[in-house]
Amino acid sequence: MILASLGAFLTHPLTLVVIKALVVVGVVLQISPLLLWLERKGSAYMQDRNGPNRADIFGIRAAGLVHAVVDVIKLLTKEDVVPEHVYKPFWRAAPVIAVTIAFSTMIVVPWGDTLQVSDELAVPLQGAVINGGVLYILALTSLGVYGVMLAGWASNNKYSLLGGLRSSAQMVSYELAMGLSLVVMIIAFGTLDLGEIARAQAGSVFNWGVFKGAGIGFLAFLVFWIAVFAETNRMPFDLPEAEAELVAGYHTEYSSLRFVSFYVAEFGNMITASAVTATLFFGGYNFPSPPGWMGLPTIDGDWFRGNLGLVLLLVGVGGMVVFAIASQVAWGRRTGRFYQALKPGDARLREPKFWRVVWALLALAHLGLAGLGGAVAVGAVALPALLVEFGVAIIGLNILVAKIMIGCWIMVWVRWTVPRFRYDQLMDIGWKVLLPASMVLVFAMGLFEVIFYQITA
Amino acid sequence: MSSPTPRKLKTGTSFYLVEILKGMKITLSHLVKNIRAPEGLPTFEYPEVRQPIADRYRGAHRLTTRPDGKVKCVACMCCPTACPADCITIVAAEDPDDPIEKVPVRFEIDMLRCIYCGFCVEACPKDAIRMDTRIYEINAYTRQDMIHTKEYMRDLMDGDKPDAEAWYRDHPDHAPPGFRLDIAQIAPRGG
Repeated sequence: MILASLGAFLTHPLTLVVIKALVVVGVVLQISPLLLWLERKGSAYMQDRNGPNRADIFGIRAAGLVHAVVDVIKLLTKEDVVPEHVYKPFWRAAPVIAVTIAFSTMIVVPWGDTLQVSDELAVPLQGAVINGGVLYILALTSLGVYGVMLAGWASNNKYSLLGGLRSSAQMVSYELAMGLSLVVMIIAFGTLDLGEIARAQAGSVFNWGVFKGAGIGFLAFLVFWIAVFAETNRMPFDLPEAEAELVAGYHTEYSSLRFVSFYVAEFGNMITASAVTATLFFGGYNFPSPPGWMGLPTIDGDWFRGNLGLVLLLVGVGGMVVFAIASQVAWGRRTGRFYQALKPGDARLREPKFWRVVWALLALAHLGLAGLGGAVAVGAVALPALLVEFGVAIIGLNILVAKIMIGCWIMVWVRWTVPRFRYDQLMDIGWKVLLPASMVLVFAMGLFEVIFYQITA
Repeated sequence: MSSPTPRKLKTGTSFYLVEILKGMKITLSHLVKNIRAPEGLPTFEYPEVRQPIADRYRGAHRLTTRPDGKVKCVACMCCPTACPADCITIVAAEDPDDPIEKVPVRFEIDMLRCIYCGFCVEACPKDAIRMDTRIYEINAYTRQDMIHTKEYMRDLMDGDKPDAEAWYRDHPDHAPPGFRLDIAQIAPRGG
């Protein structure tokens, strides 16, 4: 009785939506500190610096990853200063808006095909199945301006106002190019539903959005990606917080949790933008499968379902090899001036030993995975159907997260490579280059589709 | 005066994208190099690793002593006179053991005011004050603690060993943080 009602509660569509939303927010929140670390350490190494390497737990510094934890604790426990001169209602609302928008865009991104829990219950692995998912994304990214704009205006200070002003102008101008390059993809896939778009890209690599329309898709991707940099206020276009000119731009007056909100919103926007790019242009949760050449199988959900054992075996063996090598190299070599200068007994000298153990254990875990995979592959062990379904869903999620991380890494990489554009250059690129380019692309894609349709029909 | 003509970009350069890719190649090469060999980074990781200090470096002051352990200072007031920062306080008195001799009962240097010019060392006729300790981490939690007293400066090193470094090599336990024997290559001598 209780079990039945619990089952009914758990399988209620509303409960499922809440669970999926929590998963999405959880994923974004988990990746954010990782991105913070990636940004700090990556930028440091690009600039021949050391980067975060001080905070440690019993001598374990994890190449500065501990700093991510420390940063969060520090920022959350700091004093929340509310300046006297701000317009408080809007000032308080701005970080909330920013962070809400950053998280809620992610909800329409599919992270897997339908999950067949049982014969009656099929859960689409997408936070919210919205028919007009692409429109929803466009609508929310336009709303994202409000967070920055309200923060800049309500801070009641000239630098913040200028930051907010720049940001709103920039986001509004780049929205057009972004929207039009999305239109190219809408024409190519013939649907606004992101789940449908992701499903249409299954099978061959050449079903992916970037390969649509004989190169038009790739150009649309370029336009979209540049516009995404402007939308997320990332480096070549991060004029709203140009620190040399505007102190910190719109979040100058914020501290503690409110400041974190803006920070998390920035990372959330990065993740969302990467996820949307991956879904629209790079096949979403689909594996880059060979297009059926030379007898190679097309790798899609069904292939994973049929060959889960093989996949587990490959992942297990690959992980084992990687971690076995890592356990020989360890993390944190004891060469260089720093380690020679450490006094004997310093906890940090134990670090390589610790990582050696960790990597060895991970290699062992992957050995187990490989063993399981091998057993499944030769048919010694039969996995229950539900587990297979979940396995396929997890593989899809992992592929999507990998694509998101690649996108985020490219954002970090570009940020520490190129200098900031001047404001008029920014506007020139937006209005004189990207907007016409995206318009031409829309027409080209429309023409291509019409001709293609004429040929095939 | 005519304004400078803006630099005309080549057609390829004006697209930015190729140039950005070239830049990304450079940053990636630095990243890979530094991940592979982080010990090659030019950073001195300060509290553990230190830059070499020159022989003539003027660190914290010390007072040298005679063989019997008394400070060499005869309270002649040359150093407070020479001090441009007016940070040396000397109160003179007669030596109870030797009424002919004048000694300082108080000899204090306010390190918050000191500008480390070394004039006191130059002015001293008795070689009683030196700045060869190589101590540059002069810090305290209160202003009062920043005033170095006679006893502190006398015991900073064993006063009758004139060469600070030799003394530190003999007494590694007393070596200040600025002098670490276990980092030999960081403190190259000579030259």
